[in-house]
Amino acid sequence: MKKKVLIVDDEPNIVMSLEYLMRKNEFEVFIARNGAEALELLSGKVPDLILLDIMMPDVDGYEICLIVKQNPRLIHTKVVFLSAKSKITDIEKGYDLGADLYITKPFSTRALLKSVNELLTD
Amino acid sequence: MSEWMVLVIAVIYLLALFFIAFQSEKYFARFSNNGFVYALSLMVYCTAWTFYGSVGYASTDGINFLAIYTGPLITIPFWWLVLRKMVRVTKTMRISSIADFISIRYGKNGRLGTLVAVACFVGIIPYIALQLKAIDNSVSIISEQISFDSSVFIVILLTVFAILFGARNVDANQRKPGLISAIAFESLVKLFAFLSVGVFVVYGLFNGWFDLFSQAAEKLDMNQLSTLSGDGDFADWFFISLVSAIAFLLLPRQFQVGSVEAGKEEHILTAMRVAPIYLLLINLFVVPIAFAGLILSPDSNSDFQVLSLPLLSGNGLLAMFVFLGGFSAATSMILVSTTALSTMMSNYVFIPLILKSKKEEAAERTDYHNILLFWRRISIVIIMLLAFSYFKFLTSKESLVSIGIISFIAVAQLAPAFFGGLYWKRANNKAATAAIISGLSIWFLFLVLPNIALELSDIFHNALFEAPNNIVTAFTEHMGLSRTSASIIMSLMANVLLYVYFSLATNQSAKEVNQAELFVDIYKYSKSYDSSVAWRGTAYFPDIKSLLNQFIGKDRTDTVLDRYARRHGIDWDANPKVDARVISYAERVLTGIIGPSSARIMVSNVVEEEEIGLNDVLNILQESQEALRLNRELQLKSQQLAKATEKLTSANAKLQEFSDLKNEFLYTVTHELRTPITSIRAMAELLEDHAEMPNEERAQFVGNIIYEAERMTKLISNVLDLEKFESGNQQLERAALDLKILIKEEVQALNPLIGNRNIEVKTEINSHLEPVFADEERIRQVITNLLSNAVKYCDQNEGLILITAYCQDDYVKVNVSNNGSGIKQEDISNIFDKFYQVKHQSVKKPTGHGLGLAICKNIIEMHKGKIGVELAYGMVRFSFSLPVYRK
Repeated sequence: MKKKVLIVDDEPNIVMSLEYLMRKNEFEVFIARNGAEALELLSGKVPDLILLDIMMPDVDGYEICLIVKQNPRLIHTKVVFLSAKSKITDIEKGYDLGADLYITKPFSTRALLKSVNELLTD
Repeated sequence: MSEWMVLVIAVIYLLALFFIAFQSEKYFARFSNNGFVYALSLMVYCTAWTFYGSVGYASTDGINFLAIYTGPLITIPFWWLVLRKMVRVTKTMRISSIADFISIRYGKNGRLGTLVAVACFVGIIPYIALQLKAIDNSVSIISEQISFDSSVFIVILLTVFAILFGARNVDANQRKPGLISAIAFESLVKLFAFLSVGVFVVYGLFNGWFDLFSQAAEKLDMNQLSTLSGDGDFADWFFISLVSAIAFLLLPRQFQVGSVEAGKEEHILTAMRVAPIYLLLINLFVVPIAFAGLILSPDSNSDFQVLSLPLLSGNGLLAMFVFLGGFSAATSMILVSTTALSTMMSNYVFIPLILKSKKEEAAERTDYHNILLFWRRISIVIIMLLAFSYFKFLTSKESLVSIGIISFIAVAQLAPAFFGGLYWKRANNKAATAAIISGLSIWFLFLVLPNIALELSDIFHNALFEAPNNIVTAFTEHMGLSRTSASIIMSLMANVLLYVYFSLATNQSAKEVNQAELFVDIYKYSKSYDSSVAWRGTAYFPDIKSLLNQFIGKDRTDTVLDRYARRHGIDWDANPKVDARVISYAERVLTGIIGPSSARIMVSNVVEEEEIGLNDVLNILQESQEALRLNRELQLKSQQLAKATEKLTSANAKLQEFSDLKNEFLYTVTHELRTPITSIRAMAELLEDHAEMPNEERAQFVGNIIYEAERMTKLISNVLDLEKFESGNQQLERAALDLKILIKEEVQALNPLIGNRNIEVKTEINSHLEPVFADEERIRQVITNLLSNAVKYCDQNEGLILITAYCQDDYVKVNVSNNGSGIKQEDISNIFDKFYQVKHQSVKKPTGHGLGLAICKNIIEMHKGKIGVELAYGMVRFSFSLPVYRK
């Protein structure tokens, strides 16, 4: 059975790249272009992985992470932040909210794929 | 009873008196320091003159004897004003005699003090002689047989006791509770003795008042005795009352007990209640006894009826008590008078002479303590010797009363200088000297010289000596007054006139001004006397201490200095250099012992003193004003400093803010750069990793990479632009520019951006739009930015963009409105900030990085124009205005 991944980002070209990458690696891909769309999708689906941008216009990535980690239904869902916010305090905040991984932009698709696979086989 | 017996009883009485004095000195606070004792001590006013002489006076002149009491009685209500002020001044200035008082008031003038001391000396010696005479007469009356002249023994006895009572301590200013208690006791003895004999006479010898007065009416010429007959009598009564009122306060002994020995000022209130009762009681039986004497023993000496009447009826015990009453009246007067006079004489006559004659030697000596006591005792001996000689010289011609009155009139000559000094600041040293000398001269001419001349004429049997007496008699008869009244009116008139004249006509020295101020306004200064003394100079503590040691002994010096140090919180060891206040204090301590002028001389030996002239006072004032000014400047400076610090702090805060802004700007820029780079890198990696990727997809990826690269380029050029504007490095190439054409061109260029979206663009440009002076490229940049924003943010379904341009005042105004709802009221103030949209915009930006509006703002402001945004009529309106081009 295919692993499910939810991609949440407001940059179309980044979404496009991630979608291509994950599909090519046998993931079932869901896409949200902002926070609200992501929460709506999460109310129905239980993805194995969320690739989450932080800076979005309405609901930001931190809030989504918090909601996911507090929801028992999503207890097995791994959250990976993909963010341009590179300050130590931002990264610590991400892990404090329960994120499984925090990767700063720009990232390497190869490294991302490797980390994600390791995360999901644990 | 033999004379020896009487003398023994007198000695026993004096020893008892001394015992009382000794005991009360031990229990000082409990016994002698109360209002009642103070009131009784004031009754030292009633001397042997009162005790014996009143009856004599009443026997010849009727109720005129009351005059010496009516004066004090009438003026009792004023004691609270006058006596209290005298006490306050005396205590504050550590005054020990009336000579001190007048001398200190008139600028610590030693010569004036000497004058007062001598005046008192001359005036009081006959008065003391009078007491000796009273004692001697009473001894001879009470003794059954006269075997020898006891007066020598009596004088020696009294001299010894006067020294014991009055000159044991060196500090004349130190209160003498023993003496005061003894005097109070004597006042009681003489009162009870007199009341006893009165009761004995009225109820023993007669059957009560009625019997006595009816017999008197029968046998005596009542007209002569009980009424004031004629003008002269009334004038006598008035003038004697006047000088009595003065004498009650200024006689040396009265000043001693009333002011120097006063405890609390409240005691004066008690005295004001007790004194009238005492004076009433002691006079109650004067007239009955006089009547009884005239009826029963008309041949006896009328001055001694109080003694003769009990003896006549064989009541020896009562006679002895009466003798002791008279003895106490006389001794109390002698004890206090010699104390007061000896202090004045030693301080104003002997000590100044010693200090002047051998100043060098005197400064070296260290045993002043003994020298002072020695001279005070010598003074007492001299006073007693002179009084004794006077008494021996005195014939029986004069009654007790007339000698007393002469003393009163002498002392009254001090009154203008004294009371004037207490209430009139203008009064000065020259005036006081002239007043006292003139008054005393007239007193001498009217009252002393004629008597001496008469005595001499008796001795030398030469009628020439009678001339002064005849002249004065002729003069007073011409005035229609008695000699007493004439002398009082003449002497006091000359006295007061000269006093007023010289006070108005001559000026005071700076020191006198100072003292006058202190005396007249004593209530103002008495609490802060130490700090108000204008006295300069510096001295060292050991010098001051050894100086005081010499005069008051080591123990008392330590006590006095400790008390001062405690009160003012001074540590002598820490600061051996003492200031003017301490010097002034030491001087006042010494003033109480050796008088003010001698104290000044002694203190000036150890102090590098400078006299204070008017210039000095002005300098001091100027110095303090200068200090005030400097203080104000200092305050101003520190205020300025505080302001500067504040500015610096806020500048620093601003710098910090700038630095924070710059950091944030850099962070935001790098953050903005990360986004396109992320896309580029991700896509590039995918292209490389997936060779199997179909061409269509590959072309889209490559296109996106190019798009993101352009986005980066644009961002970087915007950042650089902004940096140039903000740093002021951007140069404008300004020229006359027609905005009409520019706007039209830019609106045309919008079409590709709008594409197939439903957006209506309307332009309303005033056809007479004036040109502006601007850089065409930059203004084009602004307009492009505003228009592309309008396209981005206008309503997505039915977009409307409205462009208007017109002249307003000296500006050309351009408005670009859109019907979008992308901007809220709270955003308006921040919308021109860098990267503002990045954080707060709710609709995803198609392009741009939040730098566009910031750049627009910079450009417009460089052109001295204005840029703003407002929400109006449901539209968002950006507008800018540029100054019209003028040649």
